[in-house]
Amino acid sequence: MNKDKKVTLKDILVSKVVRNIAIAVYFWMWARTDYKESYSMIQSSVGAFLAVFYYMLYSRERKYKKECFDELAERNLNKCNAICYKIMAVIMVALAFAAAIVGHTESFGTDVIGWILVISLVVVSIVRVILYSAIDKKGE
Amino acid sequence: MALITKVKEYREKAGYKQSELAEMVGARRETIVHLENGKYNPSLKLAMDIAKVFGTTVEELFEFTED
Repeated sequence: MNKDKKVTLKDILVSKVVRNIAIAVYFWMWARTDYKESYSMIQSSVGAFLAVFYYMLYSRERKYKKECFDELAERNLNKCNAICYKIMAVIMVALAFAAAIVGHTESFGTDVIGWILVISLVVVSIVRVILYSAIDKKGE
Repeated sequence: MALITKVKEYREKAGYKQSELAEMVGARRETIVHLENGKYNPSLKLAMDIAKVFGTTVEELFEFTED
């Protein structure tokens, strides 16, 4: 990794997608109901990767704020975040009602709810990157 | 209200590239591009920083007109 290369806001957003995918994988290891010997090792590896990645993300965010803070990029990100917040809110409300209505059946257990949550996290973070790229290209 | 800027005019007169001006005021080149095209209303701080680079005033560089 080139330490002199400036960190852009887009780099940070993409890093957060990677982090969320790692969270989804870590969740998958916890949600599994079968057992193989290798799973403990994989789970620990993913957990360790997440811990290191969180630290790297924190360092990159600090570097960005120090070197590359740009007000237009921040404004566009705020617009993006407002849209993504609304998308997440719709997903949460739909999930809440689905859990209330269909939650009594065996097919809609807490693991399904967990999967919907982590997959939504990954999908919305990808949507955020795409939205940000589109809004930033357009200007304000 | 539409923003009219003379940033491009002043920049070219001073012989700076967009990337150089961006570096001087702590912004991205894309921000300067959008600013020059009137697609971005800068903050007061950025407007003042740009005016300082060209040795002029914010009022001289930026103007709002009624649509």
